[in-house]
Amino acid sequence: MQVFPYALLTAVVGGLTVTAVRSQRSAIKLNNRSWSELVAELHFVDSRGLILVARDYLDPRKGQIDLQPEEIWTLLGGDQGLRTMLLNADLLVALAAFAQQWNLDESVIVAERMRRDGVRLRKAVRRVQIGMWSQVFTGRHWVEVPFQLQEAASSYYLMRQRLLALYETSHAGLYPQLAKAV
Amino acid sequence: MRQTVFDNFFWASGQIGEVALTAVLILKGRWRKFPAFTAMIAVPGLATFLLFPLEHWRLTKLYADVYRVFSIVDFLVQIALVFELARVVLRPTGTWVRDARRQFILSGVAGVLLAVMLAYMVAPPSPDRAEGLEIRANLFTSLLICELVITVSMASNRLGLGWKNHVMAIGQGFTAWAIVATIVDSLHSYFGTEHLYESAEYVKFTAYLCALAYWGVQLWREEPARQPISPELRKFIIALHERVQYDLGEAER
Repeated sequence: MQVFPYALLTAVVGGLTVTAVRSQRSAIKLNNRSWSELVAELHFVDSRGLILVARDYLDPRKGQIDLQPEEIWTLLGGDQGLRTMLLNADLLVALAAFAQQWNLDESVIVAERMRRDGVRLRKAVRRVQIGMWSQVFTGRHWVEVPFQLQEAASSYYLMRQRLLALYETSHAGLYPQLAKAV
Repeated sequence: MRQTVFDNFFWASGQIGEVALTAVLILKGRWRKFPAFTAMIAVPGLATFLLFPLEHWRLTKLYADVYRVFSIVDFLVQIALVFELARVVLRPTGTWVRDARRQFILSGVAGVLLAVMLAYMVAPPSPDRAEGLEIRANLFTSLLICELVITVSMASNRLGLGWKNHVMAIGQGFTAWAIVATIVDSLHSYFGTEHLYESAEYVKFTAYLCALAYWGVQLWREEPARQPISPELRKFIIALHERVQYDLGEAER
């Protein structure tokens, strides 16, 4: 009897089992977290650097190419900063979905907009990471990286702003705590 | 083949479980939201209702044909259930969440190819060619269903879409049962019909009975009330969705 098909089948079934367990656990976690738990899970992002990079991209003014790629990279906290944004992105969407109990109409739309921002954020971060790896192996700079950094920053910034605006109108009591956390 | 006490026990438990769950789905009106799931539970009962007299009157040929037809219907209903889960979870506002459809289709195509490849590559040791083919077909079905239901779950998590209680219960029970069915069908593909066949089938059936009980309890309970989306809001969301989809399409060119 051939070994390869069964080794492959075992690997696939094992992979499916692990993925299913992890995925279901993550779905349960997503559903059962309280507002305070969601906020407590947010990681620190340097909002000053983020706002600077995002506004430079979204709201161009005189001297719009003054910000250098290295500066953008530092302002966003480098690789760790990008990873933190990715981790926070899911939590920001969950926080928007949470607001459905106070303001259904607005939060449904805002959460959907934020999901779209999140898709763009993930795409941009993935491209930055590919660019950085390519730089390590080939020694050549990937021209796309600075643009993708700005895309990532602006997507995350939009998510943050949308969430803050949603809470400002739907739950003014929780807004200060949220503003401090994000 | 002679029926053992275990066979009769599992058969009777399955029947009772399916009838009870169908009753819950109808009495509580859940069938309106989950028609494919209701069909998946009701079809085996209907099959037994038709097959029993055929077996009693020893109409072997007709029995085999009806059995085959019901196996195909069962497979199609399971596929429909996966799409039903995707519809409820990945289209919360009535339109597909951006990227969910593409990810679902891509993963589905990859899942079909992988399942076909694996079912073709294995060589179940069976003296009967038809039995060997049946094992391959079962393995293909289990793998495909398992991959698709996991795809729905992963896509919803990735997009931050929460599962409501009932769809979550159906998804969890279905995933657990699909995983056990895949493991059992993989074992059949290695050991064939000679070794461990019946014991492994009992494990699969036990998993199914557990899933039936879990679904029955969860679907009997009410979901926490949530304010429904008004028709005006739904229209607005669909219009917004189309506009943003267009804008993004233009921007990505």
